Amino acid sequence: MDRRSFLKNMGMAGGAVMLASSPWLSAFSETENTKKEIARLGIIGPGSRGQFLMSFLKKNAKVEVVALCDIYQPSIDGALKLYPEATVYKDYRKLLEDRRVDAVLIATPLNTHFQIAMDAFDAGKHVFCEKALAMTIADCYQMYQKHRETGKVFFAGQQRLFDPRYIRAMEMVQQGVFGDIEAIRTFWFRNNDWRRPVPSPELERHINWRLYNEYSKGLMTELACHQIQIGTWAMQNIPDKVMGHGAITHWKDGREVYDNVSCIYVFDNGVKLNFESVISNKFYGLEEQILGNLGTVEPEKGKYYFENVEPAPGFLQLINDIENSLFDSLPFAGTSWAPETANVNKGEYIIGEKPTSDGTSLMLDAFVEAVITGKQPEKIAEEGYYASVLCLLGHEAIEKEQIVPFPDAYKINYLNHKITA
Amino acid sequence: MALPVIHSMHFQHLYKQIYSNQSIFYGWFQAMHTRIDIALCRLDEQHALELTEKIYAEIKRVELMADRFNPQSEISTINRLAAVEPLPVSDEWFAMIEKCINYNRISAGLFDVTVNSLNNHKDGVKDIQLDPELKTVYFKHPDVQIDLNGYIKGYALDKVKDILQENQCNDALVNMGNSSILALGNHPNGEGWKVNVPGKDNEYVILANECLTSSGNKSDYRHIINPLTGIAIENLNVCSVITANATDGEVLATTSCIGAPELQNALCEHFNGIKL
Repeated sequence: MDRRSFLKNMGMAGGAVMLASSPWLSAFSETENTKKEIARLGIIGPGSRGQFLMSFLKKNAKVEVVALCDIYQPSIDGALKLYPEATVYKDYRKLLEDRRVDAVLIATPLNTHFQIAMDAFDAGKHVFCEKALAMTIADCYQMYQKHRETGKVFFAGQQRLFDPRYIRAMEMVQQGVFGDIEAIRTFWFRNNDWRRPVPSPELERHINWRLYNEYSKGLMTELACHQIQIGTWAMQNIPDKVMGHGAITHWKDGREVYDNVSCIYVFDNGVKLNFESVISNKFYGLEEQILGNLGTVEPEKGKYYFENVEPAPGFLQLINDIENSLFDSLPFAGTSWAPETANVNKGEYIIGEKPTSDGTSLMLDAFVEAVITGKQPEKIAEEGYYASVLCLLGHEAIEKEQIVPFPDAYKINYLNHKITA
Repeated sequence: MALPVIHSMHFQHLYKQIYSNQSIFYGWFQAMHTRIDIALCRLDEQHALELTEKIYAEIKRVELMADRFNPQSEISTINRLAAVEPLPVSDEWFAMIEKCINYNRISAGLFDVTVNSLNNHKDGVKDIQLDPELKTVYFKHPDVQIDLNGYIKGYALDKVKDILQENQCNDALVNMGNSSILALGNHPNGEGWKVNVPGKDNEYVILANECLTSSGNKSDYRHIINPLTGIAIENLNVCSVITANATDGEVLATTSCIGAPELQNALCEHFNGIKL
């Protein structure tokens, strides 16, 4: 789905509830005015993820990738196939000195994100940083503060924030269609060793950096970020504490990070978000199940289900009208409603069709718009910050084998952490 | 201390407090082979839940009264035994049959609760004999069967109206499967309730202490039978009427789908109803 049809389908113009639950979509409010503008980007770390991002940028006429930086030649070769004119750097600091570069995309191993991002902000660049943002909570905090001080645009690679089915699902959650949220269960199951082929042994740790403590926290930083963010998005709340456990149960191949983790995040009203990842059984795949007392959403599958009969759309409109002080006529279509016309509980597609893509393309388009206008879309940096911090907090709980409260020192002015005068 | 809010096992609900003096309760459930949606304004959640529980119980009671497929229902007993000998029935049933006979008379036979009698038996209403003293009903012909499908939803909705009014719930909207809608008092932001006219694009009516009843065939299932010919009518238009009570609405909407225009006008006048 392209951006235009997405915006049309989601009814951007009238979607008050949608903009309330996903305010960063305002990034697209000036797309017409920026038609003739160009964002000049530098890609730092154009490996597999970096090239994947570049393949979407290539489709955006407002983008020029003017610079690349990597230390691994096969990555540079791959990236040059997409943008043959780009200047190649071996040292990212040289790329940051390139005055043509408006913004950087950081897709390097996790342990390098912090320094690159800090230097990029200092060099006056806008920053798109892959998730997780950094190796420690303190580093994430400094990155966020740096973004606030410099006023430069800051995105984390949380593409679900731009995925139509997630946006629509969250709008429905905010409307109360599924009632009160009682629990959120998230899981990511795979059955593979999570390794990339290594051409020679000395490159093992550089290529399979996800498996070693020096570069990554494993499943908690590489997978959990996406799913835990769904919890704060749905609850409009940051969890108070987390407990968890991790172990290597299957892939005993010299890796240092766990292949089997489970964390429980607890919100202030007692609702819990579970995150579980096992990479030696793939039967249940991945999903974020939002469980309300009236219904359930599975945004990954793109479906929702009601516990019993679904609410009538005309009455939901009535509630919205009353909340918005409107007095519109109510549609109660047709003649008699009969159970045969209702759906059996095989669920309904959130956006009326089977999902075909995630939000990566729109997320990058939004970043490009923000780079051109210089305007940070509302809440996007905050969602990215908390997604990373909560994953790292979960990792801390696993390491300590303790219930870890959210540290006051790292709360920012957002949602239930809002500073009240 | 406020009582705890119950979560009913019978229906689902949403509750929104808008301002300190404004709230909206929405409850819904399945009954009578359709769905029932109820919006109640300016009640606290506890009160709204209790009221909806009462409404649910009443609708289930009426549903059972008229359930021809439940051998233990009163209608099954009547259909089984009323042709054998005069059968004593409850006061409520007696009054209901009496009313249906009266509706048949004033609609020149177009409203007929015996339309689904056995062996295509026609004009079965004339075969129903009531004894007001003994409160008995007797079918003079063994093929006569009563079917209240075109009537009972309106009847139930009038019962719902009684419950709401007895409980001082003055601003409410109740929808019985889209075919019968009761609007009491006012929408929080306007006078009356604005409801789209079924089957007509961009047309709405404002209902104030009135019912909107719609009747019409579905494209795949022509269920409205002309009792005078015994043949299902072909018309696919939706007929909608506004009346003070829902039972009159059922009769007027059904006959509007079948009858000649002059008769329709006379009926509208009789019921003080409006045909849309």
